[in-house]
Amino acid sequence: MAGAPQWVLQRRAHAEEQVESRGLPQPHWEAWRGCDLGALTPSRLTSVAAPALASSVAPAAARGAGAVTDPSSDPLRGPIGLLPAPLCDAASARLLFVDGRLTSPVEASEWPPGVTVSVLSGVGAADAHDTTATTAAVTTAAAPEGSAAVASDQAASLWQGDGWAASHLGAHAKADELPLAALNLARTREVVVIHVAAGIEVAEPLLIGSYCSAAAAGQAVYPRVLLCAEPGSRIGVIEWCSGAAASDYLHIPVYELAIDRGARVEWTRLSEEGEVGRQFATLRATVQADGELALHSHLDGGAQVRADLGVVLAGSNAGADLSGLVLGKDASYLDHHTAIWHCAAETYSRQLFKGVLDESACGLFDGASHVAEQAQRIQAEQQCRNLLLSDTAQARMVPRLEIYADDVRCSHGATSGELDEQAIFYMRARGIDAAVARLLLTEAFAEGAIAAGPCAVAAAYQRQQLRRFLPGGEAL
Amino acid sequence: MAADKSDEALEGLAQRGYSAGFYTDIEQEFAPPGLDESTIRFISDKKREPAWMLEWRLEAYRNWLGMTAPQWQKVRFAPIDFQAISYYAAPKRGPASLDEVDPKLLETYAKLGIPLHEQKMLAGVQEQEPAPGTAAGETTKPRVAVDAVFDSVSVTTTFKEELARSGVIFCSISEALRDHPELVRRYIGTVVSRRDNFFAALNSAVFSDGSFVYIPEGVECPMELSTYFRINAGHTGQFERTLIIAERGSSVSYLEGCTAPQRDEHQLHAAVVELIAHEDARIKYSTVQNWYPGDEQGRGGVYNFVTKRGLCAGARSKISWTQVETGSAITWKYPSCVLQGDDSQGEFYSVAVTRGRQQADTGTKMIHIGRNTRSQILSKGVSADDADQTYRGLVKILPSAAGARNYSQCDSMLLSDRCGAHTFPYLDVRHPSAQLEHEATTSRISDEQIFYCKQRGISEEDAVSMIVNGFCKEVFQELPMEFAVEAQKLLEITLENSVG
Repeated sequence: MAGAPQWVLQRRAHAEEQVESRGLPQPHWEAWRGCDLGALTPSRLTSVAAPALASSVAPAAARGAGAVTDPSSDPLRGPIGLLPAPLCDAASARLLFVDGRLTSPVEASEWPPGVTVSVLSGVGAADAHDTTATTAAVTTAAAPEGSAAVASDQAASLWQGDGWAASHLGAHAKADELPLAALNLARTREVVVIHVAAGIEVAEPLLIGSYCSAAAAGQAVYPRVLLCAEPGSRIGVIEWCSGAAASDYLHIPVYELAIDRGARVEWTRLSEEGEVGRQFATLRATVQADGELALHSHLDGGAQVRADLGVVLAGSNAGADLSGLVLGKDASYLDHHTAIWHCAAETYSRQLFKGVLDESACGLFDGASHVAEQAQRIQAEQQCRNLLLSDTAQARMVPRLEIYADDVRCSHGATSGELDEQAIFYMRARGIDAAVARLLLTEAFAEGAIAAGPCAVAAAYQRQQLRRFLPGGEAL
Repeated sequence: MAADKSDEALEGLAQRGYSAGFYTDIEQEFAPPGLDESTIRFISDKKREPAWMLEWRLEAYRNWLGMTAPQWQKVRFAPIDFQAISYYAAPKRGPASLDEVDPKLLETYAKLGIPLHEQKMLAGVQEQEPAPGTAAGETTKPRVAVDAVFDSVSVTTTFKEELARSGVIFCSISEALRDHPELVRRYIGTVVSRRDNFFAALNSAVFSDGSFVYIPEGVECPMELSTYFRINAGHTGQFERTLIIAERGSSVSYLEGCTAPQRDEHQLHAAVVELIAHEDARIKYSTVQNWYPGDEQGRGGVYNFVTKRGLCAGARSKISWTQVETGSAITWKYPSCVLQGDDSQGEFYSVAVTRGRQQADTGTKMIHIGRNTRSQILSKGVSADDADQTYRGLVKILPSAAGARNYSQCDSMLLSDRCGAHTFPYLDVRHPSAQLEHEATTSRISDEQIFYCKQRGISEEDAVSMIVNGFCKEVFQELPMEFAVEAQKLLEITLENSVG
């Protein structure tokens, strides 16, 4: 740990203290009610001792095999080949964590102008088995022509105690409030910090992947990313989480987004965990005045996945558009916990989450809109819709409103049901086979959520995955 | 305008009264404060209960000792010292008949608008025009049988004999334990068990009175039944237990009302209500709750921690809860329906008004077990001043509940910028054919609405009252007609001067 800035060490020590004093989530905590916490046992939470070498990484789960390139068959791509090809090809730049470690150094030339990516490596967990940790902070920066000096200043001040990274790391996903964010900060091995300079608009999305290999079985992986979007900037990120099919790893990623005045971030989460893999992800964003966050979350696969998405609308006219789709099969437990804090006047939030649940899957949506006393004239909408395809599937919904201001427009709606028999009859009367009619209607149902996402590339990929998910869907 | 308005509002608040806040100085006997097994033996002995009932209570007490008070609700209050409460308080002179009721008690109920004389109706209700077909000059008087519970005992029950002619049993639960022990034993604790929750366990151990209703097969109860609860003594709690059983094909409409004197101390009211509806039976349970809410600073007021649950045991049975909640410093209750019989139906209609420093965490639970069960929830919350109000509800559709249907609507209205309105619905669906819809909105009275009314010569106060009444109308429509009037008036008094 020598070599990491003092404030980072202090913050990690504080996080570790929080883990020890507050403990792990308990089933009687309201935010964890009904959640299976069996996997969150101290013995499972040690970070992976020796991360898998890229060359030994097995391809992703068979479910996504069509999309994920087997690295052994594509030696030129290296471990990056683990990332789904359609996403990889469309991205402006790529980053991949395997078992919590970046697979390759960050090259400045790979990043769009104005985007600075820095990595604090070797912050490696304080645990004794962390023998491979290096201790140097690697910073690679690139900047548009004419602003090289600015970028280099930023790089230099990045890890100073009064620098901007210090003001954001752990400030959004707070260790004092979120036990898993504390755990992540205490045990993460590499922190990736992405900085988007003021006024920069990046057309193509960045792709950040995190993959848990078979080596992570029975252990935990803690990737961490901090994104700072300076005033007036605009950037899209596709975040992809996956893992080896038969590996019972625990994926605990944390993402912090600091969105400054007038900036817009489009963040798309694609979670495609392995059959027995588990994920407890935390994303926290703070949006300043006139800033916007478009956040989309796609959960498909994994024995248990919980995406905890929280947005603070801190300045007036700040807005958040949240959407998501859950595709549940087998006995998977897929959970979206969302919370929007309206802390300033004239802020808005919209949430639309849908679930298609088959076999014995359980989908949970627990969404909250909090409106502070000073947050007058805000708008908060929330919709949650579920489609149950089998007798044993379950949908749970807890749409919450917590309001302390009187001049507000808040609403929420939640529904659950099966496919409309009349609609099926209508299609059959027009010569469409019942099975195809069901597929089309299910696809149409899911499309509402997919289309609400901000990224066209990710949406195309989601449609492809949806057809793979639906029995007989590939025939469509 | 804002300054003028707030001055007026302050003046109004200072004058704001709680008309039921008086105290009746009557000779009473008390159990010494504190709770242990001897307290329970004392209560059971006073009631001359059968031995099994004492054992039942003691087991509940032992359960309670192992339980901790729940913390999840969104209300704040200092921990309750259960040893500082007297668990039994009763007027010394127990009446043998209505004529022997202590005149002070009659006066108390008369002041509350609840005459205990059978020839009269509830105050505030106008006589209706003769119904078509009745002889000229003969007015139709909606009659209501009343069971009056004063602190820990029932002082009288009216119309008992007339009800008995139809086979309806309406009496205090203490009397039921003496006269119909087999019925009480068969049903008590079957819907709300002694382990159900902390306050239900406490109630099971120390309940002192309450009402018992039994409607035999095929009988439509000839009149509305009502229980009026009054806490009078200080340093006491009220722990009543109500049990209503509707046999096959029967129906009953029941109403409860409640008030307490104005005091600086908080008083605990922890009741349990159990309803059982057999095949094709219908129970309509209405509450107009007006316990003392405490003063503007939050001093005093009743803690209303109540467990109410109905079991639709038989096919096509129906239980309907309607509540108008205006009182109590803290209200915390979730009248629920367990829809066990196929095609059974549960309904919940609620208006909750909080102002001053009142807090309410209330809602309902609908548990769908039988096939084609249906439930409807309509909740209207109005918050003013510094009050905090939460709707919390659960709709659970179990794998056996094919074809279940639920519709929930929760609307909140905020009348000040310091109050809070929260909605926490829990929806749990485990059958694909179930259809469930939930909607919630939050709004306030807009300046345009007020302006519109004022332009037409309606005062601001009346305009607010009118708009709030309109907001709550769908719920008031569900109340028995006589009580809808009372509820509307209560709402007006409660919200007086609350806009500013």
